[in-house]
Amino acid sequence: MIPVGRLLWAGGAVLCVLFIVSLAVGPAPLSFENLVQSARSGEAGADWVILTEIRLPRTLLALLIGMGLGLAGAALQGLLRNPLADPGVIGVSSLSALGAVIAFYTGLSALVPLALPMAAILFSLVGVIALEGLAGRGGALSLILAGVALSSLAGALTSLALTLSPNPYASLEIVFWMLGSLNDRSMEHVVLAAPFMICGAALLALAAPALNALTLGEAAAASLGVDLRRTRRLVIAGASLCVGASVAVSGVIGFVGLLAPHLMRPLVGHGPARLLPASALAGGCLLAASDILVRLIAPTADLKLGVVTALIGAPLFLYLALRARTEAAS
Amino acid sequence: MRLSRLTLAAVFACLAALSPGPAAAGPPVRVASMNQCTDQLLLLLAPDEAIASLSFVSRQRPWLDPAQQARIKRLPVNHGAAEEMVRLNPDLIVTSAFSDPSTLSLLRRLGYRVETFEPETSLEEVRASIRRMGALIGAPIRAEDVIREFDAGLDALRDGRRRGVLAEIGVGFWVPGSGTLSAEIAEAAGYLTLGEKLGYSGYRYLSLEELLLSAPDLIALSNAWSTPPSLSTNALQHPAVGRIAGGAAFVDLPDRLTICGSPALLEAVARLARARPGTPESGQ
Repeated sequence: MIPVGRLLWAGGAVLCVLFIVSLAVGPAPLSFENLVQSARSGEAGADWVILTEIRLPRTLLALLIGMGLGLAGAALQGLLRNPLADPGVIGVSSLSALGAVIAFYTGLSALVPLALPMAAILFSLVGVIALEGLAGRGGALSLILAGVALSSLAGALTSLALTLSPNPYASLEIVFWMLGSLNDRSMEHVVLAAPFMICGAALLALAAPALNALTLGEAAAASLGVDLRRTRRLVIAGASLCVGASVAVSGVIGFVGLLAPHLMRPLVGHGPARLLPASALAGGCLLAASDILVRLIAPTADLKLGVVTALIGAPLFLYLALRARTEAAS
Repeated sequence: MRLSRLTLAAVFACLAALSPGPAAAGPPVRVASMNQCTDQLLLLLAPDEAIASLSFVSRQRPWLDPAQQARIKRLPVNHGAAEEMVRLNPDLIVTSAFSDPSTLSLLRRLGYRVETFEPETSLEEVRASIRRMGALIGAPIRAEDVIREFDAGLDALRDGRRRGVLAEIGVGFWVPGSGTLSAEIAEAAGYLTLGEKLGYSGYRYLSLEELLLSAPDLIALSNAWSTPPSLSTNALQHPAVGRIAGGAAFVDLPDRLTICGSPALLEAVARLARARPGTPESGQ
């Protein structure tokens, strides 16, 4: 195990590098001279606009959403004591997308912009509560089954909502909601999502010590004086805020909440108090790197982010499933 | 074996009887259209009683021609379903070549005459489409009149002035280059399209970043479907779009003027020409 402090410093450094690389990558070549000139004269040239209004919001969102999803994944895995509990895998992200789709395509969010993240968060909340009630104590299999059912239901209803929109372009946009993208997002999206995600992260941080105790089992945690109901509420609310706000502006980006904690566990151990900040950093790095990769593979084609995260995440998921099988057999 | 003259004559007579000649006498053909562009051609050339149905798109607000509004609302509409066509039982079905092929083959199997129109890529093809629709519905003379009027209108608008580079940005950031109807429309109004300047033909997706680095003189943003919203139509309202080239002029060019190869294009040319005064062509 690596000291968490050192790991966080290293993670922070990687995050900074990715931040700068992400600002530098895009279909249009930027001239450093023009940027310096714009910064000096205060007159926004095309290069400056590209940097500050296209690449900066995209990069900020990649970092924020990656951190939020990593954090939510780690917290849900701690609460449900199930290593497969990723918001994408268990259908919570799909439900958020349904909420966002309803708020957006009915025109509600055009009138009240806050309706977009609020609806996504509300649906996410319903999803987490339903899953916790249905399958929270039923072991890995029942959680995944409930998640599969929830995902397909949410996917079907999303498709229905998009088909019912009179706007002819709506039905093509299911790809965005199912696979996620940060293409051409603006600062408005950052402002819309960030406050909710920060609140969610704060709630999850409050729950971390109790989650640590919960690794010993519910009875043992209760005997240590942990308020289980409070912990459950904090995690459900925190995860919903993080997942809902991110899905509202980027669509469903799967596997980040699964990958980040699993990559970090060998380094920091299983205790959620140590795992949560490490997962957040890993998630941020992962999504920023994926978003850079997306732009390098197909600079002008808007390859969906979920494609890249699934290419990395699905093999890991399969590996976990296999390991679970061999463990069950032995 | 040699066919006798008599047999040949009989064959030709049969063929002539089978094909309903363009200006066939008798009751007017009842035509159903399943596409908004064939709708426009029909409205242009056919009397109401010959129009069995228009596509539902023709009634949607972004495409509704204010001058034809009352007439369009009077006519029945269809949603492109084979069942609706069977119920209407038209003599002729006209639609785009990009209609659902399974619907078209089903209709043909049921014995309906289906004529498809390719999207026009030049003014010459626009004339050809008008002429073909005229021939199909038995109004060839009306079609020639419309074409003559269209050409006279175009000639009146061409003033030989140069107005610079036009970035016509469609939903999804599709921007026309050479070899497109958009390029000919731009040319008639004295512009070069951004795609022609960048040296590509057909339509291409340009990223917002590439658009910001291009320096058009005039920008026409697709403006259909702002409500109800969609992501791709909202994307055109990205704050960076307003700062392309440090504020090139914007022109209001409703999509309904440019979506089809029809005389509505005249108003598009007029709006483009009005948007920038232009400089006289050098050497003339």
